[in-house]
Amino acid sequence: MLNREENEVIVHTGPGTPMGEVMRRYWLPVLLSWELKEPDCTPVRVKLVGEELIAFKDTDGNIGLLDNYCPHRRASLFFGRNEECGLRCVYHGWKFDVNGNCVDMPSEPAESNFKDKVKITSYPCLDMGGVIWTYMGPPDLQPPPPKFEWTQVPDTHRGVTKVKQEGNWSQALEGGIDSIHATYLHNNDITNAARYEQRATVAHIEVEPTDYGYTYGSVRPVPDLDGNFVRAYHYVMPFTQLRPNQNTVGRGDSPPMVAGHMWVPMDDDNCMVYNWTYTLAPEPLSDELRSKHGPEVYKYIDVENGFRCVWNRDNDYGIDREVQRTKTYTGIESAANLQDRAIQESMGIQYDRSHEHLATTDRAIISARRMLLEAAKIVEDGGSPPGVAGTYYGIRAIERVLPENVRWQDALHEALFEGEGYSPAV
Amino acid sequence: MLSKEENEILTRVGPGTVMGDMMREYWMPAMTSDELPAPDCDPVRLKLLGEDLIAFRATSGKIGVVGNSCPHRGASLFYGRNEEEGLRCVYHGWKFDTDGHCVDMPSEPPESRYLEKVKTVTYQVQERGGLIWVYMGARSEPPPLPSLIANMQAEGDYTISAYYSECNWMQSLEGDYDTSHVSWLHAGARQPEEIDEATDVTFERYALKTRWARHFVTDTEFGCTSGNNRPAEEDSTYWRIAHFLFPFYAMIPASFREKTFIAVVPMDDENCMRWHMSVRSSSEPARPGFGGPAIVDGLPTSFHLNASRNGTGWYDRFKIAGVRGNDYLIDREAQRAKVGGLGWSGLPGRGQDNGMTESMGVIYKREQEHLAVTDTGIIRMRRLLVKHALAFREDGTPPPAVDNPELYKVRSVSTLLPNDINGIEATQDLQWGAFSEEEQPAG
Repeated sequence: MLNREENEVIVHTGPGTPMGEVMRRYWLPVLLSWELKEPDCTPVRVKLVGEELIAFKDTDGNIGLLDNYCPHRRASLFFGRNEECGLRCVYHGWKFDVNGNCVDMPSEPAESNFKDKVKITSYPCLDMGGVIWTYMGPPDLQPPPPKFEWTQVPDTHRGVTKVKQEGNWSQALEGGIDSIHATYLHNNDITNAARYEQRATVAHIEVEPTDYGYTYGSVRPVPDLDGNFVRAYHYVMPFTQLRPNQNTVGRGDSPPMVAGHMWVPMDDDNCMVYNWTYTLAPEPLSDELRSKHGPEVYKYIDVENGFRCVWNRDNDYGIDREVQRTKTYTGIESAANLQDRAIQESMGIQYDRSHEHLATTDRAIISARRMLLEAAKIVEDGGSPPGVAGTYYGIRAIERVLPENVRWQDALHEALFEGEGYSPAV
Repeated sequence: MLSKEENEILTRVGPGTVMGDMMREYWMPAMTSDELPAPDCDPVRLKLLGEDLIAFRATSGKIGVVGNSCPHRGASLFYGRNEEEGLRCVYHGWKFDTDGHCVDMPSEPPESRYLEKVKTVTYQVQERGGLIWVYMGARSEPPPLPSLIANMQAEGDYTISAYYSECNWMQSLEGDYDTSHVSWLHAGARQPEEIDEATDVTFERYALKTRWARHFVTDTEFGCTSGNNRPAEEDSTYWRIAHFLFPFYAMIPASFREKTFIAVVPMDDENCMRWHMSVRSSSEPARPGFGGPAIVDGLPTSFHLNASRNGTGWYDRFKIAGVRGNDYLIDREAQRAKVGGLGWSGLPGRGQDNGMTESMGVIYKREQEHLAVTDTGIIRMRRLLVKHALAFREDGTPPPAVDNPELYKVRSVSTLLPNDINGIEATQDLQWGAFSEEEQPAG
């Protein structure tokens, strides 16, 4: 439970808000790389931490991320002409380069030097791991690039997609960190008792703080199995989770993988959920898996409509009460984070944490909140929040069955951090 | 740039606001006559200055504009029965005439005199030149209608276009008074060679040859006049003279005529109706957007009345096809091809102007902008509006031109003048109607 004031701090990420200032200290995902198809392509609208921005790729292939509003009389640059190394407002022809300089102001008299005095807000971008990232904070505090292992493997070893969620970012993050809900919400075959998650209906959550966030384990004692089913995750500030996907029991044939999410605030009422997954095996992902974690996802997501899922709040996420009675726990399809989104959005657009009843399964969530609130204080006091130093490079999420008397913190330590120097065969 | 407080004054027009009260001193274009085509026709929802109104034409042909809410328990009179010289609420049968009197209250006992005590909100109406005008001010004797030339023509000698815009009225009007955007937004991909000199009576070719201009502005009795100039030939300068007239009129040198006006009438703080009227002699051939086809080359001209069919909602009148929700039907291929009127922005028709002015935000905040030489007229227009609205609030000082209809006979001008003279001064005779033979618009 948080009081009203604390809740406000967590929820608001616009410019000048405490959490907004925290967010602006990290590299933030802007778009999937393919959204800016080629030089001089159509500009793309971006909402990020409460700011309205326009992304474009200039003639030389440089990525620009500018304020939506032309500094002149603030018409939208979305309609702009992306040409000759700059984005030109169609209203009066003012033109801006990727660095925000006004490089042409043809509607002013020839002798005018006004263009030298006008700048538009611009943010530096980088293209890494199939995602375009930006940094919106103080230039001298720019952190090293987000070299998560998944951003460093070849494209053939990774899938990354995204979907819009119509609710505050923090409740999406909390829903993702929560481990035990998988047993219930994601039980997509209520007749299949083989899954470990189904055989153990409770989990002990243990959180171990790190300097980038924390690693945490959910320990499920599985009956008929000599030990515990342990899933060890990472939470990387401010909005990233790494999730193991290696256990094959009840999941079909699949290489050992690590998956994860980034719940990126668009504004206080919407977030963009980036879902990525990659294989730990040296071989590329099979075509089938690449398709499953790529194009297939977009069967359910309207890319042209801001990556909104076709099943959404307006149609009760397509719930099928008959399927719910006979086949799956929810009656909601499992694709494209649909079940998670339905539940997380149903809490209200900005979840109010002053009325809840937290349980032991919520330990990791409580830790994340505490860490975020602390980070807000640290940044307000002029310090640096956790996770800006790149110490998360090479971390992995791992799941295994461990003997009952073995601590996962000891047994999995190496595996959880062994990704450094990872270089699979291409 | 305006402070937050000034911006609030400028943009808010509801009852009791500084700007809204001043605006209510003037007659306002509200509807076209053919929106109420016949006696006892369907009532029409009408938003004006933040008020919800219902317009109807009674059995006698007289027009009534009354409050949307029945004075009884607030049901909407939109559902009313328009019959026997009055609009009757279908909830309990109360009936109101065009002057707002309750003329029947059949749900009350026969001995009741209650109907004599009940009046509904009603506003004065005049109909002229195809337009229905409404007066919402406090004067019991309203001022005269403004003598706008295009609105004083015989049937068939004028063209009215209207289109709705989903943003505050002021940013829409600013877009009109900003005549410099024409060289860019509307013609950035057009070349001066495309213009046939023989028919180029407004010297458009010079606006394409030189796409910047020097800007001047001067106060007038009706508001202000702006002039911008740029080089024409060696011994001449091309001048464009535009006017802002209180409270929401712009007269700009349009591409083929001067006897024209634009009125940007606030529906509420977040929506406005744009009226374009001009003179068109019946012998003149029709053109796209001016009595011509609504669709040209498969694209809506989005200008003429027939471009879209009106619905019955508050914001369903005179909608153009390209709206915020569909990015104004932007054609990126055309934008890349960079040819013709569509080739600069890729935005068809009126989506060009609406696309720009609506994209600034629903109520444009003027705290963060960077005004340039091209905005000289806009700056003056804002200042005058705020100044006179505050003066009216302060001591009732009548705002500009409200009692002087003749001032609205002024015209915009585009002409060539010798170099180095004050074009605003030098074109006074043209502004007040003395066209020479060769400068007379074609037709």
